[in-house]
Amino acid sequence: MMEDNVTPLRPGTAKRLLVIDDSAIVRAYYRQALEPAGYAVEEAFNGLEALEKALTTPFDLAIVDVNMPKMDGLSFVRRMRATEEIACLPVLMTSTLDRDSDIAAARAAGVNLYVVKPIAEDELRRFTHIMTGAETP
Amino acid sequence: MPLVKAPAPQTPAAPAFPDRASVLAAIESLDPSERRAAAWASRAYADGIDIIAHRLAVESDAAVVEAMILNLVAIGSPKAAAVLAPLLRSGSAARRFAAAEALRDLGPDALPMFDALIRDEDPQVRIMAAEVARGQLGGAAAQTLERLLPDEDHVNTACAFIDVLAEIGSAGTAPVLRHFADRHAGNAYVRFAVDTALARLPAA
Repeated sequence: MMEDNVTPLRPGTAKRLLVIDDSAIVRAYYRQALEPAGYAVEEAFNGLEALEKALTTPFDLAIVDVNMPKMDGLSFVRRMRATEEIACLPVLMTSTLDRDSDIAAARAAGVNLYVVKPIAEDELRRFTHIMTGAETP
Repeated sequence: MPLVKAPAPQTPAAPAFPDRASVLAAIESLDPSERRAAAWASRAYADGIDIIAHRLAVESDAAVVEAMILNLVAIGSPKAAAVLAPLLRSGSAARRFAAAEALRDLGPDALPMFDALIRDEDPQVRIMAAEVARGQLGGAAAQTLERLLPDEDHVNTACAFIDVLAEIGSAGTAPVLRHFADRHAGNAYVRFAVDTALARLPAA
């Protein structure tokens, strides 16, 4: 659903986001929250698929879940940080895991910001604006 | 750790273990490749699950853990499911998901363990248990999720149930989802998840 107070990005400044989550519902939620705000959203089902996409397409931010098949979110971030071409991609990690140890593990892997699900749409857009340096009118 | 699937008939070339005692020794070896080979060899013995279970609890090498999980799936039985179940509490996301996928691959053998895990006091365990329901547990798993959803207080766990029900539910799931959305009318994410799930359910 779309909230009324979405401020779209300044034309010509669209940022590319890579949303990585094995839940089709979560991916759809992020897409419907971020596309009306002017972001270009690409999806990946797991960390392995995300690595392939990140290596072929430049992104401004990766929004990453933790629990995923084939390659989990933490393994994805570690691999990404160790791969020169994509090492600097900012990462917003979203997860149901809320223990201090989970957050510490994410930080150690190289996550820039860790947010516990569920995330309100306006909060998601705010974090995304900040982390991509997106310009609003 | 790769996606866990039932092993192909061809197993990796492994050193020959002449007897059970040598398998028991190898599975405690300092060399991970020996432990991995012993995991593959364990399934030839009637107590293969016990041999693997003993070491799995303390094993740290990812490739050895993977071999052990694969062979527990290959051996099968509710007992194998019981050995896999504690891994859903692992601090390693890869290990948690590998265990969930292995339980999924065990099919009906995992049903008794699924019934316990989906009611675990730890919401993170319930979330991982919901992943197990995506497998071959049949309609019983969907019915269990439908029964538990109305009383699920942890919103992320409830959303995990909804996510799985969108995939394995039936037309009969719809009233349960609508009722849950009505009870959480102020939660935009729940409303979105239910609407999306309803759109994916088979038509009545």
